[in-house]
Amino acid sequence: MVMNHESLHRVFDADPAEANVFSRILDSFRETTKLQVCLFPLNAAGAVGAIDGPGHPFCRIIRSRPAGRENCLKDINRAIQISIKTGEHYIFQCHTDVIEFAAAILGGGDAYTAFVCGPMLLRPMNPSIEQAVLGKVKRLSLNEASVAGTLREIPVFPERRVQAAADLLFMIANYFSKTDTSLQRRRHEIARQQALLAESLFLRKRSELHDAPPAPFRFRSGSDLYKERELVDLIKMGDRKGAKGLLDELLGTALFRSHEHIGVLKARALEIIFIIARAAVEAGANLEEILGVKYQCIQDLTQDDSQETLYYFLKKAFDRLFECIYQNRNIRHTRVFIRAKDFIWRNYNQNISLKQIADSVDINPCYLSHLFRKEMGISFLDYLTSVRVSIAKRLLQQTDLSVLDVCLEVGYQDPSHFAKIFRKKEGICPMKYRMNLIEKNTGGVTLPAD
Amino acid sequence: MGFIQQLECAIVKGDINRATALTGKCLREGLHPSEIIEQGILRGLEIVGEKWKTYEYFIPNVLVSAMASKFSLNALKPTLATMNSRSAGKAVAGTVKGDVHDIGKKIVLMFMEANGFEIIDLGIDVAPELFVKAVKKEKPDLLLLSCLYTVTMHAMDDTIIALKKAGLRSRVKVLVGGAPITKTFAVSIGAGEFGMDAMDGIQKAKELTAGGRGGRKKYGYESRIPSPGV
Repeated sequence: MVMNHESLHRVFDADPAEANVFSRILDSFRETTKLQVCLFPLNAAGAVGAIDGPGHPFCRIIRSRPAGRENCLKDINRAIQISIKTGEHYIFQCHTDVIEFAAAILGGGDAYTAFVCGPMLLRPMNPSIEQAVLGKVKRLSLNEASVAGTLREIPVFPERRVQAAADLLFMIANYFSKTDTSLQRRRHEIARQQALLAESLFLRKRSELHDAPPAPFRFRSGSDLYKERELVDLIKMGDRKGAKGLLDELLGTALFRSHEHIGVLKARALEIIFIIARAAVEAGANLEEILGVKYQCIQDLTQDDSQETLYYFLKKAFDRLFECIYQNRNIRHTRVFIRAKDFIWRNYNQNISLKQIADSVDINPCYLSHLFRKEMGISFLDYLTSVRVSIAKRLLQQTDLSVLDVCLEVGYQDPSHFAKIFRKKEGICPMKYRMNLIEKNTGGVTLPAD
Repeated sequence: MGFIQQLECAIVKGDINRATALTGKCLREGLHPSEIIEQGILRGLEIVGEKWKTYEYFIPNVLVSAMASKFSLNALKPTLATMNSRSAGKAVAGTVKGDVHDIGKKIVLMFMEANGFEIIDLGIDVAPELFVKAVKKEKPDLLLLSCLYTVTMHAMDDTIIALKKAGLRSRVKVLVGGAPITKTFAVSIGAGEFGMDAMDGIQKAKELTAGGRGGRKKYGYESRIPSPGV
């Protein structure tokens, strides 16, 4: 095992006793798994300078040639770079196609140390695998019989065991390094959020390409202004999942539009946070608490100038703001409420009654009604009406459905009743509401009908 | 279960020997290589991707399935070589600056190689100037740019600007790809095309090169036969 003093010193911040325990654990790990573990100090650029020293016989043969050594160093540094960026270990295939894993761990101060573990094979050696590896190292002009001999000594680890070994070593190293892992966790979370964002964009892109709208009606891509209003509605009604999805959409658009101007993106981020904060206050959150979250958010945003971090802070602020709504209401029956609200959001277009909802969450209808009034401040029927009117507004804004279709779509059978309800909530009738929006969009110019 | 479905299963399980044997059986049954690639190998890899997203599979599972795919593609290579007598073209590829993801890119390149392209992979986190240098040196028909994060998309733009500044943009066709990349984005940065997914990427690469130099034989390039992976 490669274990130089500088590496151990860095990881344990000059505590020889800790270094000794860690060294013994790594020895036990090697004995149990038959895997080689190397510890490397990283330079200021976060890279390994040289990989001389002992290692698995197969690696030693490969590194006996300058080109082989150079390739190994390149692979290791690439893996370390990825590990630093993602805040987790990285399992990879090296240039000879055998498996290794690496991770960077923070030592004393900001210095990194990296461990590299391997080589491993995912499948037992057979002639075709052997030929494949020999083909990969052919240009190194090595003795094929020696390479093949050492290749057979490489331990075979099925997929799950490789993952488990990497997890184990990473956790032990982090535990012993005793450094604040919050930075690592943050990097990991940022990488995860970016992957999720990419995934949601990919799915949207694919569904647009195949032209298969998921809903019975297809929304026009509404402007950000509409989305913001919708976000406020969703927050007020406590639809956390829907609000989070819409926030992703708003952020995605902002990222697309301002990918070169971090200042513009920050301004947009603050704007979104303030909208959410105002909605949270209207939904019952404590004003002072919300001001605290806003202040923290401004501080976070001024700290860093990368888009990844910005996205991470925004999501964190969103979660905190949402928690404020619930904390202030002191809802004792959050689970029951979430389920009841879910039921309403899934069935708002049906003729649903309080009894049906109460049955779906297994509580007495009278008690549910009482809870609604006490904890939400409104009756069950008011809540259902708010949901229906909010959906109707969205449909009037973003689709070409007629007012009658919108009325039926949100669960009302009688258009005049729907108009009455809508007027009561919004102050104007549905048709006028749509006309106002069109006028606003065209700057007061009436569009010719076609 | 037909051989092609069995091949799909072998890819999902990462069974290298079985994947190789079944590819041969599919060919002997008279299936076209593109059918084997699309319905056997790529479909298998798609399932692996789904399993990875749902935490059923881990990175080693993805790696071993990719290996099985490589072996399967190698078994197809002699047949593909007789069908593509000329090299399909030369491509320089890389993940743009700031991004370190390359599993998707590697899969596309693996299939492009099997389809007769000569590939020069610059790796990950490639700076615009390195792409420019490679285009100058290698004189490829195609430049493939890949990224996973929205925050690294702008590096594609920077790379194309760098190509324009070096006076090379008109000499090479640019194909961009990656989860967040859309056609609108590709057009806005002046890329020639974008690949929706692996199969679409290969198809677009073929289309872009077919309209241009029409193969590489006149330049004397030979399709490089990649060695199979483990």
